[in-house]
Amino acid sequence: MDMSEYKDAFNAESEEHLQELNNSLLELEQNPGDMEHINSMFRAAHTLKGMAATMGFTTIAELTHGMEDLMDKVRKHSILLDTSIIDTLFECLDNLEALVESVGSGDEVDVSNLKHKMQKLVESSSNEEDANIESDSVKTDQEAIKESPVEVDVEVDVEVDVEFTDVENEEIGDATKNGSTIIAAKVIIDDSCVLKAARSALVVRNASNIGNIIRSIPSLNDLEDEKFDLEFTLVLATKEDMETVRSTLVKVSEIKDVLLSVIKMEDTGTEDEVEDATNTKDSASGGNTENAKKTDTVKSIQSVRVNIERLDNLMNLVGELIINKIRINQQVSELGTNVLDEALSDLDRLTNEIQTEVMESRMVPIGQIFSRFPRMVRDLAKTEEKKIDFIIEGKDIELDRTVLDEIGDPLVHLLRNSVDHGIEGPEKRIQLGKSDTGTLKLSAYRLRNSVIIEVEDDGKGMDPAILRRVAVDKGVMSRAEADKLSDSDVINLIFAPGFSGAEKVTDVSGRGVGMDAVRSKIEKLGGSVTVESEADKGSKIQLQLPLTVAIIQSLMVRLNDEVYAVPLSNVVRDVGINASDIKTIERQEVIIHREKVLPLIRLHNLLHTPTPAKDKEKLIVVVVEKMGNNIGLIVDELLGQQEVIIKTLDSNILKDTKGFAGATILGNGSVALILDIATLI
Amino acid sequence: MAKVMIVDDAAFMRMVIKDILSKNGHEVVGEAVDGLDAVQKYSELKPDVVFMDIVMPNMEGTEALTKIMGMDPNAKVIMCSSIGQQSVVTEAITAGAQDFIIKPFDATKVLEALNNVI
Repeated sequence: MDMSEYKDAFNAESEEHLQELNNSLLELEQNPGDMEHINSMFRAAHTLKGMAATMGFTTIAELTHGMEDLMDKVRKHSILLDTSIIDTLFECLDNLEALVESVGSGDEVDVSNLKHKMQKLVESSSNEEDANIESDSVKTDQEAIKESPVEVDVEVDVEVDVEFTDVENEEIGDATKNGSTIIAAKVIIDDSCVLKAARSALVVRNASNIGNIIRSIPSLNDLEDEKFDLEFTLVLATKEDMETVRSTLVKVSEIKDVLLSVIKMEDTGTEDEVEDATNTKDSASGGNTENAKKTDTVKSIQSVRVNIERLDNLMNLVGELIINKIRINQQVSELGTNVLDEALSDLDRLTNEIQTEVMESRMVPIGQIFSRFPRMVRDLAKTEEKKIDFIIEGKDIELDRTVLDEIGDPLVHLLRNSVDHGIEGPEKRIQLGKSDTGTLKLSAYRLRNSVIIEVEDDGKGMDPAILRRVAVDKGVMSRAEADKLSDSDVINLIFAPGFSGAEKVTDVSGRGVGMDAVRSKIEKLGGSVTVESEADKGSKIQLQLPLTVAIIQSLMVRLNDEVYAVPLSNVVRDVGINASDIKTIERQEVIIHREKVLPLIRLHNLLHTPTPAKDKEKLIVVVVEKMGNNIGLIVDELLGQQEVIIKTLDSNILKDTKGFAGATILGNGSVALILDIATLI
Repeated sequence: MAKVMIVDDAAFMRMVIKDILSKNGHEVVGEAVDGLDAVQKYSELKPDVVFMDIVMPNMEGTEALTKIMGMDPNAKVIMCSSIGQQSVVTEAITAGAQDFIIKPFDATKVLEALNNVI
């Protein structure tokens, strides 16, 4: 069977199960006796095993099989869930994650050591059980010994060399008097069969449905314990004919063949006549008309998995649809007719509804990325020997998939910062009069058209004095400049490129990605970052994110004949100024606005479009915010606020373009560039 | 052709069985995600045959099997098991399961089991 078409489904679902395993294990680490989580781990490992085996991923299957065994022992209380087992299980999960990720890439992960380790853990507990099984089977063997010699004549297919006991002989005698035939059935199981004992149980059940089993070779107990090779024989007293017996027994999967022979008991002298019993018990597999009646109430499936590319495409198409709608509106209004008004307003409503639906369908609960953090925080806390109580709130808040994909890394960074630099070690905390366990809270909530994510810790916070010193040491600013900043402005220094607040660089954070990267990523998504911090009390970092990135509110501006879109999230306000009020400081044009110096940038110069020959006296300025600073952009005209659909510039030629977040198509079919304030100025 | 209900907590496994069945002309009339769901859907859908996973949340396959057999003694339930579940499968057979198949599923065996019970 070609399984490649199932790979995506396999990966997606495996990740869910891995997540469940991770979560349960984290819970179990806290409450090792929690049966619910033990069971759920067992189930998840089991399900994953089945899936992996189906796909032919043997390493995953073996590893999950080992986990399942281990969890089964834990479940049956034959193993105590101690730290060594929990650590081993975590190690398993890490390997599984790597394995699932590398599926199809041909990379192999070596898990032989791990398997060995688990094997040992399982074995350490199973010696006792084995001993029990052993003594059981000895007993059954002894029971089967008492036999009296009776000669049996066997014909046709199968030779049965068996001596019946007194009890059995009596049964045979009774049965033959009742008109039953004694049949020996040799059942041959397919050599690919795995659960032979269960298979034999099915055959035995089917056999007892059509008759009375007098003897089984080997004994039924041995069949149950799988103490046989590929065949076993049943001696059956039945009123059915040979063909029915054969078809009843062979009608079990993985049964290769059933060979029959009639046993004639010489000493009882019964006839070997086979009665044609037509009115008999229903055979297990007999036809059944009752089920043929069916109702047509097939319940519909509640949810489907859709590839994210599909949704992206759909969003794009909705965008096009809206653009076209605007175009039609425009052209109709130019025609000056009102015959289409009703149809147009319906179209309006429909496109709006489609847009909302498509946007909603792209929303994913934020828990999808939150759920990987408890494990990360636990591991970090463990390596740093800190005690941390990690709280997650607002897992159900939904965000656009694209936004969600982008905020993972910034959140990792913020959480690491908190564990690494924020929360102190237990001794230090006790010295400070705090509880030895630090609290780290990750929460999400909806605020109007945006989602707020907060990372809050009760650690050492940020000391403005240290921040000033570091800023000067790192050459971010001069001593004098640093002293001029207010304490709240000083905290924003952590966003400055090249600034790292760590006293010492640790293994965990303080390398490479800094807060400036976090901020630029969030701003790129049209969001913003704010920090609150108090020395020795803790820090709170707040990310404000838009619900979606595909459609943004923009301020449309005109420069000469061209239209540009400025994302509204960057716009502070617009102001009209007098050209004569512009002053020049260090060759930079500025204006005093609301008692503050506002640097001015002529968008014409920045975008290399012709500057109007003569300055008008009244100029229009759009005040935008970049990294907490306000900057004024001089434009020719404000055209108003509008929702625009972003078409990203991600082709090979355009992907490195700075200053533009993308382009959008306007109602008249022309293209407008969307300014990216973060990289433009 | 048979009307089949598939019970498995893994959507992936349901998809695999479903594809095998529908490619061979059988109709999957319903899917259930756990034992509870299966019991409820069985009475609604009245499928000819049920493919029942064993290890599932909320209600395990064997319990669901017992409940279904209780509602309809003629129900045809094929257990979907993994290696290493011999005793559970035997228990299921005692409880009335018609047959069982082993993961990883092999199309011929799935069809063989189905053809044997219908």
